[in-house]
Amino acid sequence: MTTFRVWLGALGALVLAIPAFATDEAFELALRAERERPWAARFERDAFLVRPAIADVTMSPDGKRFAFIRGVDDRRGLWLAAIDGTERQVLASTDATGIAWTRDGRWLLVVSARRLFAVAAAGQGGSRLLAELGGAEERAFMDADPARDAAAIVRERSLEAAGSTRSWRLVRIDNEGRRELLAETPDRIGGYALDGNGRLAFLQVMHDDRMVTWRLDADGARHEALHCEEMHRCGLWPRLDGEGRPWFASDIGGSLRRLQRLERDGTLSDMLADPRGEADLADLVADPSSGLPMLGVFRGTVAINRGIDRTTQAHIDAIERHYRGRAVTLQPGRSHWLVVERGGALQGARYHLYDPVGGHFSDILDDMPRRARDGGMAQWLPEPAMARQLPFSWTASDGMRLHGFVRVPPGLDPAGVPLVAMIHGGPWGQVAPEEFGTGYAQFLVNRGYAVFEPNFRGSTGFGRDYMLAAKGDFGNGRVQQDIVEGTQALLAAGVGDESRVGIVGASFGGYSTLLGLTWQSELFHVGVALVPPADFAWDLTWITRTREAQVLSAVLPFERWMSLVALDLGDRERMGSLHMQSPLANAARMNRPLTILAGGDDQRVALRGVLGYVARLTLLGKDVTLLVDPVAGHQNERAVAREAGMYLMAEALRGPFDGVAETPPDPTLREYLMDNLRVTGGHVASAAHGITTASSATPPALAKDGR
Amino acid sequence: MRDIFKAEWLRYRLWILAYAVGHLLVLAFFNRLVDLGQQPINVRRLFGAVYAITGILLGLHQMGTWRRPNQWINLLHRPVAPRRIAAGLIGAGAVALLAGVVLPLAAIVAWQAWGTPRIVELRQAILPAAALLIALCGYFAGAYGLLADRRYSAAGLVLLAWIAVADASGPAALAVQALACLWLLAMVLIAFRPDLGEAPRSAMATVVTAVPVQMAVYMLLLLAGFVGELLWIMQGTHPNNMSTPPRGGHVEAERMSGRERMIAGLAGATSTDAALWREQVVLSDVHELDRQVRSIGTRGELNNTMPIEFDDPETRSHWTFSHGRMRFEGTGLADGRPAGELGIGGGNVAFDAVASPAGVLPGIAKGDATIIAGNTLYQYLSAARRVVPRVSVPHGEWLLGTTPIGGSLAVLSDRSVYVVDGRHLLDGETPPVPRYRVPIPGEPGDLYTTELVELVDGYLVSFTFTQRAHTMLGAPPYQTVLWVDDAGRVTPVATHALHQDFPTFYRYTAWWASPVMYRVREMAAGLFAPVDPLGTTAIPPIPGSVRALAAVLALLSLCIGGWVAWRRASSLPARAAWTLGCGIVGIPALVGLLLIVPRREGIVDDTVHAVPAT
Repeated sequence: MTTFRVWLGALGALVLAIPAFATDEAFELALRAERERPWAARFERDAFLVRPAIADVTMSPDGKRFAFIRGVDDRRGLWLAAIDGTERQVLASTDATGIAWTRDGRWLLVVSARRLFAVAAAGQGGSRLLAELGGAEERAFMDADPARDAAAIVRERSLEAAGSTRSWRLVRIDNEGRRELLAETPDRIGGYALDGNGRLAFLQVMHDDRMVTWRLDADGARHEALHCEEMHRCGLWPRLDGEGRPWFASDIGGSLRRLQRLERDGTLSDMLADPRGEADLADLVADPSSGLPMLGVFRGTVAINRGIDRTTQAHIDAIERHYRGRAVTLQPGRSHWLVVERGGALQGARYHLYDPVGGHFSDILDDMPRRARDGGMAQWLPEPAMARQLPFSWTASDGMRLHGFVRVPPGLDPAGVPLVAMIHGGPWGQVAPEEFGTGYAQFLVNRGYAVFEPNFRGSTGFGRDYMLAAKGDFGNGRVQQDIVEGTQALLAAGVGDESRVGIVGASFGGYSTLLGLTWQSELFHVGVALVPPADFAWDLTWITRTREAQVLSAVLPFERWMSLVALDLGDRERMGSLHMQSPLANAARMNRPLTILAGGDDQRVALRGVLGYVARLTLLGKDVTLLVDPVAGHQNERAVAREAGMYLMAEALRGPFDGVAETPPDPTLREYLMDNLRVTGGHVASAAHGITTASSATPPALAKDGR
Repeated sequence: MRDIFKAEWLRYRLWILAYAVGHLLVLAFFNRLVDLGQQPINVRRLFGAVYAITGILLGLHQMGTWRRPNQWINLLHRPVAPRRIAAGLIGAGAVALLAGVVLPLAAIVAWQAWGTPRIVELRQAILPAAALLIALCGYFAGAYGLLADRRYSAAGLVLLAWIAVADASGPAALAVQALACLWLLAMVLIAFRPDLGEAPRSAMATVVTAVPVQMAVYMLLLLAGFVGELLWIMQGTHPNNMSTPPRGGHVEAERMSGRERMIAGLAGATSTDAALWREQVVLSDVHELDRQVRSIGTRGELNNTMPIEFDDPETRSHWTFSHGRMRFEGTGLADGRPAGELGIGGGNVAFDAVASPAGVLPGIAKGDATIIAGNTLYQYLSAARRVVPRVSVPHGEWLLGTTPIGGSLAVLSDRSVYVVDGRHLLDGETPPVPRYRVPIPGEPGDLYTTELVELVDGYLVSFTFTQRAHTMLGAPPYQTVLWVDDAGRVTPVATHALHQDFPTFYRYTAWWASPVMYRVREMAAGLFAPVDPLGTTAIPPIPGSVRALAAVLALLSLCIGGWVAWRRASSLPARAAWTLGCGIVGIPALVGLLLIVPRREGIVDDTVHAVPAT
């Protein structure tokens, strides 16, 4: 009997492992293909930082026109184009951050950080400011009204005397600026659904820590229709179907988010889910005629679109066949669809039109990108020279299957190149498939490194269970173990030289970098951390004292959110454990070269924590380099700052891995480095020395010589 | 008297008319540009100086034309008592100033009150009276300058200087001006006599004359010291002007950057964490705490001690603090129409102190502003048109400024530094309780700067007390660094004394030159003035060497004064009083004696005796 059980267990394990074996085989094939590609030329740093000249392309409901933003910085204009290729500029200058068409396709809703405009798009007059956004009322644009022809839906709050929230309102503003109050409630409004007549039929609010969906009678009476809590998600689609049923992007009754419909009997029916059973529903796209969901987008280890019906799916199949291996984002119009094409090796986006009747494709908007610093014309990096994003999955030591991506330098033996683990931030974030990303990964690959981007447990996009599996163990624990085991699995799979492994990351990724150099220094030989908290528990506590906690409490109170992801800030044992394992408390263990970049105006990661950590390291004589950009926040979009990040990252990795010297900084970058380098250590010190001698200037004002 | 008055009026009427018209036009022009009712002290001083000069010129010209011997004899040789003649002349001068100075100003105030929505209350309404008193003081000083003995006739200007430096405000300032005016009038009447330049006869007249003369001498001594300081500066060894200030001194400390000062403050730290703190300070931004309130406004003051106006670009409104209502009064930026009143909260409660706009804080909405009044920082909410309290320090303290630091807000009061969490700062129903309180280890008047460095576990706070170290009123300069940990415990880290860069006798010049005159000056400047809570200093005791110098000078003055007094034409009690005065007051009294009391006229032949007429 015992023998039978053993054999049964072994058989079961074999059956479960078959997909993994298949994945491993596919990975090996992909690696081989990368090795057989031609060796890529080296590109300068600024080539990885170019900016697209086209943004926010939006298809009209009739599918005959599309609007877009053309230009960069203060030369951005709003344009309107017909599918026959004729274009006209609608606004010469705009600070728009988003565009939406009204339901009738006659108006463009132009959204900026401060204002919402209605711009006439059909040759009529009457363009006007619809609403001031932001401000004390926190007024925000939600959608173009899905039920009325020419109106927008905005959310705002009313204020108590002391400036706190008295109530939240949902307001309809039509193209003539007339306001109609749809709902007012003490709780923050999260979603809504209108019926075919434009009446508010469902309202979703955050009540305590539950997302509650109310059904509203014609007389205004409210009845709870659905609620979700404990980190379940249930986004309400803004339009009811013909039978008055609301639709949700929800994970109720499971782990993965999918499209669900609330039936009249109160049950939820699954309408659309990831056919691979792997990923959350990432996005929904509306049918231009009915306003109901038409297709869903899934981003797991591959990018998939899935239609709500066979006809739609047939079109999606045709498009995905045409753009095989790419992540396509679709905007269906009645006559044409807009296809936005992205890829792991494709810098920027490409735009196409799809004719659903004839099945034809045409390219549009092929404007060249702009240089990051001065906005001059540039070129996209050639796709053949860029590394592909290879899915890589591994089984953690506790049996959980985890996912990530790998990029290896084309034309090189992946086993012989240095490996860099690039850890994403959050930790509740994700590395998505077929994404070129910020350019850092491709930059490192172009310098000869293999780059591993793990979606460790705690990452989003793979379901609620995947995200909550971290169980708050964000110290030198389970999550860090995922990263270490993923790196080791990758080494075992023939990627990277195990004697030349580095770790880099931003925010939580930076924290993981510090952990890696502190606790896994036998694996990670060098690290570059951007905006890293040196003590995760301390930083979370610090956030609770700042206004950032209020920003992060927009949906759920920050402390409650943290406790739901097993980071109860009042749990002294948990916080104490995190602190004891933190890089800050274990600075003496850090014995690898470390480069840190921080923001002086960072509201997420306290600069004082970073500086306290670096002070400990310098006092202990460690090899550390520190750059602080005094005006940067948690993210630094300045071109020179991003280039400085690339330069320092390449220089930091070069020393231990005996790499090729980076192109010396030009005067602008040199000045930035001189102004902001506060500590220069090890081989980065020699680079900094080069900077000072090249400019014949005094050494960086605050820089301490490397020790 | 009436004829003299009329004649004088007719003599000056065209000039007066021209002056009044010009004055009115200038005031109208500036009143179009700015709100003349809401001006800082220097603008008030400028206008006051113009009115004083106007009075001086009038006094000089009027008395100058009569002072010529023939004119003077002609003037006084009338069947009218000299006092009545003086009254006629002075009355004409006063009416001229009333017409030229006061009427245009009153017309402008009336225009403000009834022709604009600007605030006009008691403190603006009394401006014409202040202008009249200042102009009369100038007039009397000018008249005295020509009527009194030329050796001390400029002493009247001392009372004008008193008005300029007096700390009294509002109606109390009028009282000071009125006292100065009466004193000058008395001096003029004493000097207005047939024998121009004759020394005062009565004891009272002597006192009325001698006090300003001695104060003038005292001021000249201080001026001489200032000239000496100029020479010191030219020589290049003055501590304030040396390219490298003396090492370890307070000038060096003041010239340091915040980081350098903090590191210097940590030099003597013996804590086990000191080395780590030094490393962190080298890497960190050292935040100097801002001080939006430099001095405390007094309700009803004539000038604006601190800014009391702000604009709200969102609602297109302009808000001005009313001392009468103790609330902000609004006007439209576009149309100038009244836009309501702003007190505290929904009840529009009056502020309990003069309120001053204090800029913006990170995270507040466009159009919002912060306001400091008394012990509280308020936020003006543009959208709700409300003022709500955001941070309060204990009653009895003055909130002076706020500085956003790393997600928190550092608050400086006259007695403590507080750190307040930023989380509910801008949307809490009540002001949050500060997380930390660090008492200032010194007096507010001595505090030069406060700096703060964030640590992982709390803050380092450095206080540098050098503000008045160069004077005899300031505490000996020193720097103290404290550490407040995350639990709020305050631990002294290091205190070190800074060197005095200025010699003792330089710092105490005002005192050893004449301790009595110094005291009189201090009392006069502070007469009717409110106590300035920010001016309190830890005044050190006067060094023995300085006391000894003052005693030697007093003794010398006593001896020389006695010797001089016995050789002057005065009575025995007067000689004794002057001698005693020289011993008490010192050099100013001695010089005053030399200037005021005439030499005894020598007898040509003391052997000649009276011979009866034959």
